[in-house]
Amino acid sequence: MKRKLVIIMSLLYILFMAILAFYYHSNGQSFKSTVAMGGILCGAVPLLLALFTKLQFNLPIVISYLIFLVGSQYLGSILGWYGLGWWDTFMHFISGAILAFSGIALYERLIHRAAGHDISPWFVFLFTLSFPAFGGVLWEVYEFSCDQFFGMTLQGGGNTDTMTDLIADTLGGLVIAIWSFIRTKIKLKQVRRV
Amino acid sequence: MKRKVLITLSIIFSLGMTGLFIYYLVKHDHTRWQVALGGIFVSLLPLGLLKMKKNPFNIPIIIGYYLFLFCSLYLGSISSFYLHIKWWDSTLHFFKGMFVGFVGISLFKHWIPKGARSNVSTGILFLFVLSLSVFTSALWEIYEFVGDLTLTHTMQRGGNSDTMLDLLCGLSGGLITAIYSLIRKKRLKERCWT
Repeated sequence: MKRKLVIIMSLLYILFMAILAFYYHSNGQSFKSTVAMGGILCGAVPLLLALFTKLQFNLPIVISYLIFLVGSQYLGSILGWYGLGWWDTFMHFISGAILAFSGIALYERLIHRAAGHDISPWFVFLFTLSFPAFGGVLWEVYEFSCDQFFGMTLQGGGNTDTMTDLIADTLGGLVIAIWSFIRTKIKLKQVRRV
Repeated sequence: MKRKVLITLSIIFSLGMTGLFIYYLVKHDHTRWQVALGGIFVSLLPLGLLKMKKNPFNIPIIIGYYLFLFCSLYLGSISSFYLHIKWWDSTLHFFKGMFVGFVGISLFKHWIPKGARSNVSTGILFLFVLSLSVFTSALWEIYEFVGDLTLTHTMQRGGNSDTMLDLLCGLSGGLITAIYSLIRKKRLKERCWT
């Protein structure tokens, strides 16, 4: 059931992007059609995972991934909302939160249920806080290397731009980390009472 | 033993920094007495660990901390290695990345009790050590950025490529410790089996 939903949603996104790519290509707007083609690739990631692996999907993460793609690729790049100034920072904030959720999902996948009650909530907190910051830094490293090796201008805003991105990533992660800390504490209390 | 090492190092360092603070205050060396004043504070900071029920950090980490303070505050800022030796800054960032990775391993052991560790995948150890180290690099750059916005104007004067180089050095340092932690854990597991 989950698998079907993932397949349907990413197919919808791919279809949408494919139509946009054709539309902008025939209009001669090469930048927008390239972004739309990139969108097809990004939308295909969950589709391929659903078709060729036995991965157990975490629906909220897949949905927020696709919402993020809509926000950054369609609204941001194609409709030009990145020009607004605050949109880029906002998307970094959202991506920090999404990465934190993925961190929690990874954590739950990689730790046996039996061990769950012995692990300090501080570990959960620090892990969910660091993971998005790690992702944010990796993203900036990617932008930096594109600029260095391919002469692009992804970090055209200079140091202030890079730092605003990093701060937004960290804050997005911090919100979710605090939430996960409180949630773990409450859970532990319930377990200990029983 | 650990207590003694910590207390001794902390006293030696804070006394040394106090000496430097008075010396440069008399000489009206504005930047240097400020560094020394900060140095007194960070030398005394580990004494807070003594208040904990169980200090999770071992002697090499405590010594590494003071070694780092010596290299960055005394050699780097007061003796101007940061200005005259080009590779000093990046090397310290690399060392700091490795160091925080080891702090991460200690925290991992502190927050996940021995009995529960067999139920925790090594992937979590690797990711935790790596992201914690990268997270602190990002925090450091945020601190420099905010400092430049408010008090000083020199910490990130190298611009974007300087920030990125710092982050990359921190990242590679953290990566080395994370890989080391993986290898060590594998060996420990094998020893358990045979």
